[in-house]
Amino acid sequence: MNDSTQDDDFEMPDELRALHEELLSIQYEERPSFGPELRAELARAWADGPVRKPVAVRRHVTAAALAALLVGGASVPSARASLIRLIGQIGPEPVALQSPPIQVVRPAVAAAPEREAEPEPEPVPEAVPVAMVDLPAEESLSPDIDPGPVLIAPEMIDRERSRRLLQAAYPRHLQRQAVGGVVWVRLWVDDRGMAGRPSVLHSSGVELLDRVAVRVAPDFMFQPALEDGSPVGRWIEFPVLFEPDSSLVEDPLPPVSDPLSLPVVPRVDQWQLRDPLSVGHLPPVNQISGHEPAARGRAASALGEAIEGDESILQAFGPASAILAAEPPVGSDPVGWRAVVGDALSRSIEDGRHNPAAMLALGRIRARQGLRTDARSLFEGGLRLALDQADAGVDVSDWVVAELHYERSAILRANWLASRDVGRVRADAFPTGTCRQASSTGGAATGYASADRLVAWNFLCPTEASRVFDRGFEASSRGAEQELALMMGSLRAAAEAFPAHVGANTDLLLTLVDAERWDDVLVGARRFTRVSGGHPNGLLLAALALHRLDRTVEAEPLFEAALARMDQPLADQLSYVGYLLEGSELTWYRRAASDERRDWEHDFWAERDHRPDTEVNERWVEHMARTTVASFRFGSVFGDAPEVWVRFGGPTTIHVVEDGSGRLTEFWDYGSGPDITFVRWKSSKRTDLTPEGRAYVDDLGNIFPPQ
Amino acid sequence: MPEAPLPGDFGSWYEEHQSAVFRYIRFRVATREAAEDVTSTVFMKALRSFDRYDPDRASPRTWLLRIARNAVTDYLRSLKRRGSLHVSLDRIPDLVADVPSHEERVIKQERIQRLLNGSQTLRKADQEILSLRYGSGLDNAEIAEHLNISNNAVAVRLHRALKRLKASVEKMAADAIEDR
Repeated sequence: MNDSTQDDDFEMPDELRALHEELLSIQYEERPSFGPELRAELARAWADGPVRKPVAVRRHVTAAALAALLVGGASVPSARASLIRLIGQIGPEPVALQSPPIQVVRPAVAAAPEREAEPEPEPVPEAVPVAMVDLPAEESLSPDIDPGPVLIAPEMIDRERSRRLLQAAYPRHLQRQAVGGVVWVRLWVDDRGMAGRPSVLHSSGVELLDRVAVRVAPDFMFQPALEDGSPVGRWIEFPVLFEPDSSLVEDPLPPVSDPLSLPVVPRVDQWQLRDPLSVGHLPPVNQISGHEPAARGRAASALGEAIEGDESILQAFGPASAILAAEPPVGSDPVGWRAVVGDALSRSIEDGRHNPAAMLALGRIRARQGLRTDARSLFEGGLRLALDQADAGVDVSDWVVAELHYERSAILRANWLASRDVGRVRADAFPTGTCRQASSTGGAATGYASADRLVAWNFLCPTEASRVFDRGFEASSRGAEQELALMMGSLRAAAEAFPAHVGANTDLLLTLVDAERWDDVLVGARRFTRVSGGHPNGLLLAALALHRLDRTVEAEPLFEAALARMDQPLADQLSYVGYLLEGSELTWYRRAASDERRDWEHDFWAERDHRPDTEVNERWVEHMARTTVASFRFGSVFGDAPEVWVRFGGPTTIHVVEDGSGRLTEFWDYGSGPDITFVRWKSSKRTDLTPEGRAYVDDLGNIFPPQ
Repeated sequence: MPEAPLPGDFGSWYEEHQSAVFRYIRFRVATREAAEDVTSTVFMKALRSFDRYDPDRASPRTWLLRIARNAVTDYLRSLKRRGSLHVSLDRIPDLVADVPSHEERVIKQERIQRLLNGSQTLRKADQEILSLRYGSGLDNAEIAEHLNISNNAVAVRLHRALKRLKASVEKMAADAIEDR
């Protein structure tokens, strides 16, 4: 699929180029509900058995009737009179943002006693607006009665579109607070049906709602007024009702002051937040996050527009989708590619051809170049620009907004990881004479114990070392909580902008896993699973939460479903039992193919089901819970830290000690005995055992062989 | 709410190509409503004959666009029996939805009206290649694959179709001036 920046346009002759560009500029605005409606029709037709005849997409009866009559009667006054009768029969709906969302109260249609001078459209005070009255009585429109000069007022068309415009502009924070109201708006609709000169006739009492109504109303589309069958300009006045989306208001979520609160995203269909996931009703695997590729395509197209002046860049370094992802095409020199493409994007932004997609792409490039502050500024600039554009009525991709928030969260996450659980241990917290082999704390100069000394105390005198941590550990005051709140805010915003966003939902839920907020993890994971069409990450996290909530029977089928819905290499990782094997068994396992492993693992776990009287294998579920956390937390199940996590489970407490060089030493506390010690670099996920830690883990393996 | 199942890969084809099919059709028919109905017809026909789809003969997109071409032909034929194919100004607001200024929108609507009406005076082959390029958004290589001709042949056909469209639009503009 192509966009306006296609290479093969390069040879277009000059005399055709303008025409070509014009044709490319046509925007095809598809009714958002059309795709899902048609898909549902197709599924119904398929489920009903042999498909016998084409089925048109059903639209809302009223909307379809209106549309048909409007189109058919555009130049036929009698048809429009029929339309007005139809509306009269339907009744004067309230003008509502919720269903029914919008209604333009129809003005008087019969003889107009005071005819406006036209085409003068000036909104002078004495101008007589089209009267705001109830719908006309049917008999007044009867074609059998000559009403004299007939004035038919402007008629709103495409109400669904108007509803969408209002819905998009209705501030979510007002909806969450259940703030709504009615704004009476006055508009001039000229003889071509174009609306303008909006003003507020009667305020809703909420200034922001008034502003939204006035901003959005000129974008509504109208049929012009007709006077004796000829289009004329007329004023129109109508109320716009802002009614909060009840699903937002009623959502039983923690208050937003809670930094770990879940995002507020619309429900899908009729399910309730606490409805269990039904594995049997998950859509096919190929429908997971089905809308994301299309969203990426649109964003790439927008990016192409931003750098269209630099076609040579697209030809040499494209396609636009690669630039948007900041990933050089295969075979490119990544450093050189990012330098050139970054410069081109910078130029386009400096030239004012920037858009949120371009700022997203450049931010990603800067992040990969190590310029994280620049990257964060670009992501935040992109978000501000998206907001401005949305205010100006420009259609901004929700996916791009979500990506901007998510990329920002990734930078904040790195800051948070560098400060999470980090602290120092006061040197005076070490009791003198209690550990003869390790009398020094190494903290004479600073007043705080050195990391190396803490490791020594940990393995020489573990009981005393544990007390030292209890007494002398001082958490760093560098704002881990603030970084966490900012990161969660960005993740929430990403998930609210694009509810099926995989990265945002996964990271957000993992943070809740760390905090052991299992109820919230379950609610969030179920919602993510549903909106994403059954993404395996959602299933894994829902299963993990259920297991931790002692609902293992419910967890097991979700783990199984997740494994069945993910790529084979990832399923292999999560099923990996190599850490529990030794000798020739381990050698064979490592060499076995995936399907051989699956059969073998089945028997392996069956032998270890320590409660065969129950319907689930608790040991397998526990293993899956551990590999799930290890895989998400460390990016893979392979490595020192995942090995420890899978073999021994999660530690009770983690203390992280900073030694000033950027190296962090982690102490994983498993109760009695020494802590297991690791080192990692700030903001990195990679966590390696210290030499002492490796020796200790190996010793544990010898004393307690993996079972 | 999980989506209801469709057979085999049909669901993913739908996700992937529904938009291109819709835009291809929208380029050829007068209103969005008509485009929706024809698109519905296309996918329902495709679903009916899904078990007869032969991947060795055509890619899913090519197959769907061929069904779309036939459906548009049928639709336009039925319209011819009933009346005009002319696109009026009030039927194309969905094609200029992103233009913020009202004046610009009117100007652009008029231009698009002329282009779409001009394209309807062209030969079917010209209409087809213009719809694939500017409706579905296929590039030359994709069109070449779809029509089973070379890239060069696509470029030549496209240029010729554009030339004829340009001439048609200019002629319509000249006629309009004469009519005044």
